[in-house]
Amino acid sequence: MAIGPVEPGLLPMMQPRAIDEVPTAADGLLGPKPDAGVSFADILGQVVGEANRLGHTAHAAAVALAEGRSDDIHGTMIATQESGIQMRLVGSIKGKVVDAFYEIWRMNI
Amino acid sequence: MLGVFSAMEVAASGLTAQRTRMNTIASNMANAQTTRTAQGGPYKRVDPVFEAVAMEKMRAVTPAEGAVSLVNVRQIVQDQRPGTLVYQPGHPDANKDGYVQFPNVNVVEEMVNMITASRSYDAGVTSIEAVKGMAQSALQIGK
Amino acid sequence: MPTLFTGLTPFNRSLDFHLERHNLLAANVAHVDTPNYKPRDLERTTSATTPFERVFQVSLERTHPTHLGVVTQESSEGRVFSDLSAGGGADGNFVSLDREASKLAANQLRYDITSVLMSTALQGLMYAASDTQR
Repeated sequence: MAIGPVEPGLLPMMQPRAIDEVPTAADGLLGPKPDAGVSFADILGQVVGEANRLGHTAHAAAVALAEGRSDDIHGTMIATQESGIQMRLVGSIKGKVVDAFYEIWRMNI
Repeated sequence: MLGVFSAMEVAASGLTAQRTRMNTIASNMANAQTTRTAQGGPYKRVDPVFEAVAMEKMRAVTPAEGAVSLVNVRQIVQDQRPGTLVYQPGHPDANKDGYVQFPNVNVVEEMVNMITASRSYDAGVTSIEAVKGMAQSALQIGK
Repeated sequence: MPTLFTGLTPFNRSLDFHLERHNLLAANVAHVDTPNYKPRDLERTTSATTPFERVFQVSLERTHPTHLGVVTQESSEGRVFSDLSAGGGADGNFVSLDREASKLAANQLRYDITSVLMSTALQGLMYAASDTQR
């Protein structure tokens, strides 16, 4: 809610406001609403689950190739590389989450 | 699966077949003048007979797997064409008319066969090297 | 007791197997002219045994001190057999140089493959062990 009279020439986001005012959807300041039900925890779980699945598949394929039960060289190499990249993705996400946590931790309230 | 090792096995069967062929050619060329053999009569030139055999351990699951086959030397056959008759009355193996039957070996023909066999052998070796190279580059995926 | 590297045992054993096989095949090549020589080869003993199959793998135990012990080749990964498929020559030598060379090439390729797979697995473990920094 704007304090004082509404300035006709200003955009809605530039109208004078109180410091502790929380913008509402009517102000046009909020971004698009996120999908209800999909949270970061879900996405993180999916990524880690995929890393686990790829890791098991790749290891099984590699052991089969090493023991001579399989002849699929390029398929196994691609599977192991995919698994490695997915692991690095999980590692990067973990790093970012930890960094974000410490950044908030360090904030002076 | 039609992988690297099946390709090497197929090419290796070709190498063995061409080596057998080289052996028959060498035998023909060495015995081009042999007028007496243990079976009586002059030397008869020999040829290998190749056949295509399906690869073991492989059921024809896909059309490609059914089409790939190994080379097998089925048998070595003697060429029954008569050789040339040469008039040499003093020859120990001359018949009553004084003619000696020489082997049906045409040395020029054998030389051509030898070159063909040698080139086929080289082609088989190139094929093995090529598929080895493919496998090595597959091992570099992601490096 | 499983360690971090228990999953790498198949790669270790495969490398051992292929190195042993190379030695046998190289000996075959060296004996290409030896009369009555039969080329030898190495094949894997069953590495994938189900618990059902393991029931039938009986080990001999010494129940009396005077019984002879059983020699087990624990370092050997496979079973040595004679490969006579190339056919024998007049001198009883069964070595075909093409066949042995092809086997050597295939065996070397398998060794290279297993070595690369081992390296990749170790790199993954290194990445995880160094707190996902490398």
